[in-house]
Amino acid sequence: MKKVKFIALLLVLSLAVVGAGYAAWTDQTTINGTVETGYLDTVFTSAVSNDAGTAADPGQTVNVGKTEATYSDKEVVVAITNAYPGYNSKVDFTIKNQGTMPIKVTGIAVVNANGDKVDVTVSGISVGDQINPGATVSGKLTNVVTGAAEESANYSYTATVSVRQWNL
Amino acid sequence: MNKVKLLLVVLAIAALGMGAAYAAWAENITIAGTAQTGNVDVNIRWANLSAPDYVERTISTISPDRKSVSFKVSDLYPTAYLSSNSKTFARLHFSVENNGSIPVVLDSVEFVPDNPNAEVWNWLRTVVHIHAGTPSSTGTSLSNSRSLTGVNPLAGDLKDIDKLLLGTHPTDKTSTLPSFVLMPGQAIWFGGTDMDDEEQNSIRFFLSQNAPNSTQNEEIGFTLKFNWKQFNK
Repeated sequence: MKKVKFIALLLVLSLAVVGAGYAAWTDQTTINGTVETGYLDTVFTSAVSNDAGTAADPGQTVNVGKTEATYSDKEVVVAITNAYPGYNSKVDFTIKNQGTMPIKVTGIAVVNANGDKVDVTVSGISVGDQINPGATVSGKLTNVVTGAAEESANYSYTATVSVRQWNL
Repeated sequence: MNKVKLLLVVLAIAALGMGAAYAAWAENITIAGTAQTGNVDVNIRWANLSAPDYVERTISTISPDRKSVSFKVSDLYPTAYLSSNSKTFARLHFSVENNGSIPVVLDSVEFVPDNPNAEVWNWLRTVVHIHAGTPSSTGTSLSNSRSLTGVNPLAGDLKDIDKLLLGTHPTDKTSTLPSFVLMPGQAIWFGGTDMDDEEQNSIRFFLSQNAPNSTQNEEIGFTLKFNWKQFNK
């Protein structure tokens, strides 16, 4: 009978030890992360013609043609009216990097099906130019109506400036 | 087996690298331009002809394109020219208007006599007045006019009228017509400021009072052509 009591006591003690093992204290550590990406936002902030139609045409003595320039964030609209061979005008424009990262100019493309009649060039900015956030660059659009232009005709063109994040 | 795994890892990294390059953020901004050209359109709006007594005069209608006008004077005889007496000369009076949108200047004047060897050419004289200004809506009067011949009219032989008009005549270089810019809506009148006033100035011509008998019964004609060009060429 004493042996039986002794065994029972041992069992109780063993169970007690096992119970202490399951009750060991624990803890956790957590990392809560957020990643917010930047953005590109390249905009025009000015577009000014050198022939608004209120004075003599550039290089001439009389007021005949006119070049109007208006702009929105992503587009400059240039409208030349009553032009003639030899008429030329310029539009100075400014591009601002309103995004959060530097950008690089990757392309300047003029699509002009009537390039022999209205010569259009973009200068002042070049492929590879870097524009930092908040910075601006100035460019110039030059229009020259050539001797091949026809009377009472309408011509159109587009000039596209492509930019990309600076590091890729 | 290890080599195969290594190759797969390299390929995976390369593919990731390609993906990153194509995913670079980019955007475009655009300049959209249009160019509308004007036109050159110079027309004769009206023309009048007067002549001394006993001289028959015929003036045709202006051509449909309004680019030319023709006239005929018959039975002209020698007269003692007197500027204040319209019966001593024949008088062609006409208006040239810039109906285009581009200013023009005179490029050249072509004078082509039909019968250049006729004796009468040596005795035909001309006196030319030119005014420029803004015609009224009806075209019958000219405002803000000014003379393009200076104080006096151009004067010389009719066969040299092209030189007179261009200011290249040996003795009369006073014409300012070649340097005058005819703006859209303006007119050059070979005459005065009233279309219907027969006493007004014009291209006058007459047979000199010294013309010999050999100039009788001669028939001549001429074409006087004004070539205009855009102002900046």
